[in-house]
Amino acid sequence: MDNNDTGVWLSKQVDELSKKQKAYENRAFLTAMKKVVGEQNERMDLLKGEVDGRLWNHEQW
Amino acid sequence: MQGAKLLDVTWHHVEELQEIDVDKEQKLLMKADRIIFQFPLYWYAAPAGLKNWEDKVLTRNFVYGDDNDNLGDKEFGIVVSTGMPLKDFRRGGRENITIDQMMAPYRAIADRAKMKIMPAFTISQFQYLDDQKQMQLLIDYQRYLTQKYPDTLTNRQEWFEREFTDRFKNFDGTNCTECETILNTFIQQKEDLEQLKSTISLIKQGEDE
Repeated sequence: MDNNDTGVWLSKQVDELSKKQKAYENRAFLTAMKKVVGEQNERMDLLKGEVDGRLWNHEQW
Repeated sequence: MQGAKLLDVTWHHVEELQEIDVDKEQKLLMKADRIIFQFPLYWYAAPAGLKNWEDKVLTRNFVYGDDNDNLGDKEFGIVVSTGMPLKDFRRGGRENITIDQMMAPYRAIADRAKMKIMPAFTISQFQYLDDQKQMQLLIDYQRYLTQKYPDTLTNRQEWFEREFTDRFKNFDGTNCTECETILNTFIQQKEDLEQLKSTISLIKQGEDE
């Protein structure tokens, strides 16, 4: 599993920003955006894993 | 819900109309890119007000007659709320009927009009949802109204990118530089994902050769 430092940093920034919001809708927007950042990170891990897996395809050794 | 306040969204309450001006209603429909019926579920259907409006406004000629595809380029969505838990609406469940089965008549009209059908957006037992879930629902609802369909990660990212750009001036406790850094990092992540996807498709091509 690759450690996506940028993604983790981004998630933290969005989370901190959401906690500073007084308006409900802004808080909701940033909370939902944090979830999408989480999805980005998860997809990034999966795709990087797939690249590794395909590059090490034993059938092509 | 506050989604109706979004720019580019026209909120039109058909039950409030004193008199239905068919021509005016049809023109309003033609102006839209996405038409959404929103209602609380009453006995497995929309309340009578919507049916009354449908019967008057959706005339045969307007919907499909005379080779008119007045609505053919549009998307059709349904937002339906219910006081029952969602798990009841399935075969074998307490209601023994699915939301999709109940929505069939509206979709049949949309099919006839050659509209593109979106999955229904269901709001179930809103008052029982905790704060986090209500917040998520609000934004999911706003996305349902204005995000490009289908709801893929790519389209979600594009929606958040656009909305963040529009909204960050109203954020508390931050400055533009900080928001721009967040936005640019978010975009960078999106582009990195695209890059990875194209790398994989290149490798796949190589595997076929």
